[in-house]
Amino acid sequence: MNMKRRMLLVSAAMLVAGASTVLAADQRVVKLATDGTYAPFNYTDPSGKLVGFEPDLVDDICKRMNVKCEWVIQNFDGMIPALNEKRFDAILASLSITDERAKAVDFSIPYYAGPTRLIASGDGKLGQFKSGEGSTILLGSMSDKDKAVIGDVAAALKDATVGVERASTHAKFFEETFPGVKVKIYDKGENMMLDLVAGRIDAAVDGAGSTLNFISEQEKAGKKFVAFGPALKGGALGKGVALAFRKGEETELREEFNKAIREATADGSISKMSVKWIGVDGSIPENAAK
Amino acid sequence: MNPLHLLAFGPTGWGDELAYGAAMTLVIAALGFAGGLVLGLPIAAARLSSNVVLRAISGVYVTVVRGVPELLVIYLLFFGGGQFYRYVADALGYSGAVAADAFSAGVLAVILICAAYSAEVFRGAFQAIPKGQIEAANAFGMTRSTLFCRIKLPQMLRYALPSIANVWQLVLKDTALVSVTGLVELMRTIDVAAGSTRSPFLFYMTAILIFLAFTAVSNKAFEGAERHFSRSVIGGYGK
Repeated sequence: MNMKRRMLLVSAAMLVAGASTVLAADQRVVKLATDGTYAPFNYTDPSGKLVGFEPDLVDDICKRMNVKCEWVIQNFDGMIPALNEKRFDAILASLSITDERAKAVDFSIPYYAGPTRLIASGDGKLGQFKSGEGSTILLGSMSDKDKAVIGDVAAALKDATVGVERASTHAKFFEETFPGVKVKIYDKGENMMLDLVAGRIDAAVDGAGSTLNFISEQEKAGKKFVAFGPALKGGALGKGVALAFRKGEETELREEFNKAIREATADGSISKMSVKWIGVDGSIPENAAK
Repeated sequence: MNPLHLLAFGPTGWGDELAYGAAMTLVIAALGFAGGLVLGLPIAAARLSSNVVLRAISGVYVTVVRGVPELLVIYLLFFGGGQFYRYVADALGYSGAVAADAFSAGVLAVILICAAYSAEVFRGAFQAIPKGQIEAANAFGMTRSTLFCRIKLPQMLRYALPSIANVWQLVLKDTALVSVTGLVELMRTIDVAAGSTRSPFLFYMTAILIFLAFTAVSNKAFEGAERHFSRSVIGGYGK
């Protein structure tokens, strides 16, 4: 190796070393808070490691933003006060966007919205219902085809009694989407499902994740239940879950997160992670369009 | 599958995490209780003092702390204390970052709560000492410190012990409130484990058993202490 070439190599190596130091020094640290008790979104394995859909999501979007994200584990109850105390920069803990919370914090765009499903016994008439199967309908922006499917579902539910949970967004959504269908309101999801198993109601409205869970549990007990009709999102079902920032602060950081969420939605990363951890695709296609 | 494998020690179970959490709970409770008793005694003295100002300040303190939810005290110290700590740090000429850490804020909250309750217990116990004994001691020409050490303190402790045992149980349970700060004590560990494994029943039952074990052991210890401080009383302990 001649001298000139060696010099070139050395200086190239120095350049690389210099560049990587600059990169590491430049990398901002963003502190995110989560609770670590909400499987499968964010939870803790017995060795104390934070795992779930949201830790994976953060690894992905923070890489896109070229920032170093650190978790701060904080009890869910004290999370918004601790945010205002500047103990961390944002909350990322399956926090649903609600009007009430939006008065206290600034939300990013939602990164996940679990679809809502109708569920019935696989042996009955509703269990054989096929229209809209496998599709997802966005209630806020329905095409004529979507409206026809919703019409089919409404017709199938004509003589049925459907269980909904009081505290969720389901009650409002159901009355708006299927007016005139007989509804039974429950304080607790568990009681609703017990009544469904006992045949006191013909169908129930529930989140896609817990629906899957319920179906597999019933299968073990030898009973067949199915989610029928299309998966439903948007509209009265709410906007989904998002990061929360201190009110009126961190606008730039919020925009960076929004951009990264849009990218991760557009290339299907969020969709993949969501299916991996939750079993359903909760990514929000409207995000990718913007 | 046996659900008890979730309680195993090692990387696959929560046993070691629960043991750590339980130890942390005991440490917070012990520090809070000890600090509370030490602080409670002068507060009780101030409550009984002939000085109007001391009486007023201590009166306000015990009324406020006992009158507001314990959770609020913890919120105030952990979340609301930021500006106050900043002010203190500035006054001391320190410009670095200041924030209450969960452990100190938690222990301090328990101390402040315990001090208010134990001060009232001590006050009641001092007042239960028959006036005649104080008069007799004075007649013997005892100095104030001899009177305090030989007559007041030993008898006060005997009267105070049953209620102090009560305060200890209160303190032990208040540590669970410290979990809102994210400090990993028993209750927080239980929450994390219950949510992460989706087995709330198993873990909440475990928490109940651990707390009951703590109180059972401390009840025995306080019974022993009561017996010890009642040893010179005619009729003895429990009569």
